[in-house]
Amino acid sequence: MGCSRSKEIQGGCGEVTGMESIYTALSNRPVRDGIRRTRENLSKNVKENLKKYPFLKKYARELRDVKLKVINDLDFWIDRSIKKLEENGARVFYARDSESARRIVAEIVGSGKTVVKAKSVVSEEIGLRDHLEDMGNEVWETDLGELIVQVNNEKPMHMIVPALHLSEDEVIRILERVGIKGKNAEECTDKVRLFLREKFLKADFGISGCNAFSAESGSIFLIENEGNIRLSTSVPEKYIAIVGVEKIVPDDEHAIKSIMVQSAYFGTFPPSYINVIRNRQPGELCVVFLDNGRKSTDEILKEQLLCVRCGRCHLECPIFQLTGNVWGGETYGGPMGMGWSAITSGISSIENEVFLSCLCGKCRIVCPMEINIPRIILHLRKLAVRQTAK
Amino acid sequence: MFRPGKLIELLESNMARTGNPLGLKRSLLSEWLRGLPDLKGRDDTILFTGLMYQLTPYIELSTKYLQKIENSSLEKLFYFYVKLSKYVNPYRFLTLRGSDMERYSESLRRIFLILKKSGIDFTYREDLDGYSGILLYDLGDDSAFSSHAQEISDLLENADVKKIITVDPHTTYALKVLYPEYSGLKVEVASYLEILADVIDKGRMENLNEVVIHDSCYYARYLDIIEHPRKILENMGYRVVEPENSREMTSCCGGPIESISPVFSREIAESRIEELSSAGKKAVTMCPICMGNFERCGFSTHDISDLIFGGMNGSEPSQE
Repeated sequence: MGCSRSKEIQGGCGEVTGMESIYTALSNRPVRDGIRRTRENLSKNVKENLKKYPFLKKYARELRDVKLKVINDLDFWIDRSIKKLEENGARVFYARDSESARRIVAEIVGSGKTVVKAKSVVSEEIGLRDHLEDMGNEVWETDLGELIVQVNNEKPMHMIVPALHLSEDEVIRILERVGIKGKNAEECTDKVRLFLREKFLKADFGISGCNAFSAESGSIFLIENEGNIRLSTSVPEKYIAIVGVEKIVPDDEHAIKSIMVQSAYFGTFPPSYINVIRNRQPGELCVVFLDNGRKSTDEILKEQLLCVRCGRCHLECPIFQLTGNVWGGETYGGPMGMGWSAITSGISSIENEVFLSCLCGKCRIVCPMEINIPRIILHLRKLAVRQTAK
Repeated sequence: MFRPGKLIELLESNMARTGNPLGLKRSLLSEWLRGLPDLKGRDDTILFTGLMYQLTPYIELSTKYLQKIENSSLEKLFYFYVKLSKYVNPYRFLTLRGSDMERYSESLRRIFLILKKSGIDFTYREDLDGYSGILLYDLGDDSAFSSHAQEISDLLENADVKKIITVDPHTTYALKVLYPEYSGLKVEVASYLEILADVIDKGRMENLNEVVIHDSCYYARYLDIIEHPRKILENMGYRVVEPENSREMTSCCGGPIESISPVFSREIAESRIEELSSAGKKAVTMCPICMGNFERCGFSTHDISDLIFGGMNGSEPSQE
């Protein structure tokens, strides 16, 4: 029935390799329990947020249009942002890919320094922490969950809740490795605070990502609930922000709307802290804009760039609920992670993973930016099939 | 996880040989017609089963075998089988209990009878029924899907069909949304639930049981068919119970990945089963894939056609 294809499809659109880890994840009960717990709490919050503050939905729709405009004209907005930052007295860099981003940051930092980091997915994307450590620096994650994951030498299990899969006992044992001794979560948190305070004070550099960037004022907008970003970006003399170019919005109003939407759809609204950083006097502000595939997406993948990284699709996805961030590429997992991995690491990085999706479409329904994630996943399948059929 | 490329290879070769993704003999897929009265009615309106109900018990049977070898060195057996399938009919070696097949046949027969009883004028013609190719589409095999869609579209348009009645969400999505885009099909397509929602009046029966409704992902999120089944069930006198995650937030049954990973598919089914069974005793599905996957995982549901049929005849369907 018209299904002839002269050449046999080799392997599974590539051999199915590297998928063993998903079975390991499947038998790792704490991951599943952690996601379930987090989902139960946060989903309830999201529902309440949207009911209590109906304007959030309006903001989300408005933001989609505005972000789409920027993404369709990225060069213009990047230029405008760079100009504004330079006017403000910042040092601005542009990195085409992750290697050049690592090199730029490494050149700024040098070696033998102490660096405190805000939790940042984009820094995971470019493999920054390892690189700076390899260059002979002492690097500390300052978000509690991210610090635990750093010490345990593993991958964050969720973008915003990186250690959701670890029990209290495990956390106590992990933290002991860096000399933080507490009998329970509360004690550990206090001790971590003391531990990190010392790092903040001696740090030469603070590094963060960016939740939204306003081209109007050249400001970096960051939200958080622990206060560690505030310290990382203000205490050390020099501060470096890594900004994915898709984070640019035209003005302050939409930067604020973007972080409100992000936090509301994640489930913590309003966020405990909102940081707006325009310049550092005294001190130095360095901004690294990162392309790494963002500017060369095709029309369907492009929609993924609207993502505000709230992590909603992760928690609602039936596959992610079983595997956590193990299902996905090196950095980005879950439904949004298929598109993001393809953009930042190429399709081959998730050519098998995309076939595990149910295409059930819940990710599209819960996405504040209404990104048609199943369409992106299907598109990646088509590309994978076409590639092997060549 | 089975290699998607190998699955595609199997589907393509089965479809080239038989027109259906499992390579089943056509006569097996027509068994449901046994005992039905006159299949003829208005020529330009046809019932199109898309073969999903007929295929489901066979899909479940193969999934049971695949589940045993997934993620082991025995996975190779499947790839060997893919090679073999080009030369022999694999289902010669697998046997299906009559009762397993009969359940799905019965649902189809009931859909047919419900529509007739509701005064819908249509024809069923075996030669105009076929598989939609949706699995090829889902696996990203666009070129094979596209030529298959063209073939089916030509068949329907050459027969001057003006309206198609579908019976499952996947076929409905293929014909209603994908065919116009892929093969320019211009025929009106409606799921039988959409049609019945307009014609089944209120108050046929009182006090039938409570039913927990499981929305299909494709009906609820891809086709916006959410109110129709509720309206039908309520008008039939059932009390519809909403489980945790329903309507457009419905949870997946796991069925769509049962061929890629029966193991993951089962885990997803189990978590949905938990949600459904904690909402009530009796669950209703409206997609054969949902019903089949739940069944494989030890949870029996009622196909919505069985409930409607029961309601129309003043009796509840017997519990399986």
